[in-house]
Amino acid sequence: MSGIWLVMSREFTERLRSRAFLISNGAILALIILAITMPLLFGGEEATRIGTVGDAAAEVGRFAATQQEAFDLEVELVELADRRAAEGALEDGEVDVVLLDATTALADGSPGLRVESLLANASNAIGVDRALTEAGLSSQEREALFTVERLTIERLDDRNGVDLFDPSVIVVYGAVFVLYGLLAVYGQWVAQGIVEEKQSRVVEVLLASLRPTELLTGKVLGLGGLGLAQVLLLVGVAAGGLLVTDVVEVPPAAWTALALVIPWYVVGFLLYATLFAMTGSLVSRVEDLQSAVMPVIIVLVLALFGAQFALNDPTGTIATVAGLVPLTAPIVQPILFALGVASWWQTLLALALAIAAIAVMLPISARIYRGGVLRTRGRVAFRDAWGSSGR
Amino acid sequence: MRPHPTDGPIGAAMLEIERVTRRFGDLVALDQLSFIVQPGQMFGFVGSNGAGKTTAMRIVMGLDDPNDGEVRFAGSPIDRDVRARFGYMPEERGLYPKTPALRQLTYLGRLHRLDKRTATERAEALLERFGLADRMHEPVENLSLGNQQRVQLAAALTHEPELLMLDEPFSGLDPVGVDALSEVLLERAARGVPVVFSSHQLELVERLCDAVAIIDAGRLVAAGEVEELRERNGRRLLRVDVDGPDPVGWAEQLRGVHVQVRDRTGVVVLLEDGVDDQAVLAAAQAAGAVRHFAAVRPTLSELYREVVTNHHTATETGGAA
Repeated sequence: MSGIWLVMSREFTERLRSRAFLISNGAILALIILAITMPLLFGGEEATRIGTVGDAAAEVGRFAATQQEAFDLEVELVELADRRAAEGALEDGEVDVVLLDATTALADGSPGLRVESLLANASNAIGVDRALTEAGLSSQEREALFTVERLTIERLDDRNGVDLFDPSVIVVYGAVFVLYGLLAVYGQWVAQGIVEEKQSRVVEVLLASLRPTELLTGKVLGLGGLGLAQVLLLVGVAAGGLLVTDVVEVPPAAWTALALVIPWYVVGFLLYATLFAMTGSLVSRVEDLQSAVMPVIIVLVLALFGAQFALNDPTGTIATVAGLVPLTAPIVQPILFALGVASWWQTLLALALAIAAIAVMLPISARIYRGGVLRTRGRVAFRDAWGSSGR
Repeated sequence: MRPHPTDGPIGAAMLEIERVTRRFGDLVALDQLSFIVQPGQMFGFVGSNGAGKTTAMRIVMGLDDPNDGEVRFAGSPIDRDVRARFGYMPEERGLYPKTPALRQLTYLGRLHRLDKRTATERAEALLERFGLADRMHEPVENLSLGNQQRVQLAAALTHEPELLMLDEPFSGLDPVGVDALSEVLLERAARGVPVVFSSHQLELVERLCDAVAIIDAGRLVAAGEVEELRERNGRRLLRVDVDGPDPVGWAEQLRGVHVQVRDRTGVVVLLEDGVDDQAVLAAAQAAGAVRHFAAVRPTLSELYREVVTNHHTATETGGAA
């Protein structure tokens, strides 16, 4: 046990000490913080300033202001004395558009389509209201006429109710992308660590006092632990940032989905670590490692494609299957959950399947490691490593 | 007060290798290899490249398994806990290239069941002793090969092992390094530790070792104390320097006497069984004034060449029969 602990803490601290690790981590953190605060810096849309000249124009302006949300605008009203003042205010950029009376607006260039529709709508409504008043309708009758239901537009690609710009989907997709990156990086570190120990022959010194399984376990837990610390840090910073800056409304389901990234990292790392460890055991030089880990990396990339697929067609067969298959589930299942198409039992089933896969892969990987780790010359055939691990 | 690292006995157990056989496919790397290393013995392991020295050492260290035979330490088969008290220096050096020497040795010491403080203190003391006091915080890959070798040796010694298995520990060291290393090894042997090392430098082995094992093609061809091997060798060689007109010719006419070496001052002759050395002396005196007349002790290299050649001849004839 103390051997495993020593190996673990060495793996953890040696990586933590490396400059590359600190720099890349700093970069990811900076990106997350930037992504969260960006809308604050640039996105916060400025209010549309509408000038009004006279009472009739002011009435239209007030009505327009009541409609601002429907047009996704923020409106500020500015009263101006006359047309000259209006022209001056437009030229100075103090206002974006000026209502000269109930039916005329003055602008410097186009105030934008939404502003134009807002004003046209308001002017029209006030005109119709006046005509109806003249026709003798009571204020109650007029109000009833104006509260008809607004037109809603359905889109073809919107049938499943997935809004790709839904903040919770964006948050979880970002988290899953980071998850993919961490699985790839930490998994490769497992393989690389194994090969470096083989190549430098230090493994021969280590194995005099450690069992191969102790060395492997310590390595996987040490690196996995560092990765977990990183996941917690990143999820924490992202969650904290979202809470503090309050730029997007994050629904409770998104918080749950974000939190689910943590168990999915643990399960995903352990599963991929068994594959990366096997790969590393069969190679003797770091130079040969890159091509050897390619198949594992390809599986990871496929999982990321699966996540993309799930976004486009969350209830499709591919998404459902990829959300359950142990090698793709860590990347795909959190997306399905965030989209609200996967229920709790689906998530739990996917987790259970992944844990079962780990239970199957662990002894296989350990056996290949035992058989391959002392063969420090050239590439080792899977069969040879499998057969020669009596030790 | 902590005992000084050079104090007191550490080991008192012997290493027994008994009929160890290791095959790689059709190749027999070790063929019924047996020898014993006594406590406190400096033991030289000698043989040509590919003779099986490294395989034998790896088997002792549990890095390879014999197909047959057994290795015992202190009378019992070796398990990992016992092996954790061995010191090993692999043929190809094994250190983390990017880790500083001190941190590396401390880590390895702790893997060998030392607590952190003891591991650090011992590692520092050893690095100082090997003249690396000011380099111990540098990554090992920045050190010269000779210095890396010193760090490697320190790694085998930090946990005060009860047995040392060193594969070619002297290769690549300068004379100062060789002396420093020899001194440390002799010191450990004096504290009861069996020290086994392989080397191609036979003069060095002869100077340092109490006993040797010579192996060839996986088989033991000779083992024991060097003096014992000489006696067993039984060849009588004489160096005779004669001050006269013909310092060589007189010897060539004697029956049962074979001239091995001729030079300006005299000859080295091999006497057949039954030839009286006093008769040879008389013949020499007849040729001139005898300035030097003494038995020549064969060096380990000479013994080695002879036993290996004999072994080859024996296996060839054995194979033809």
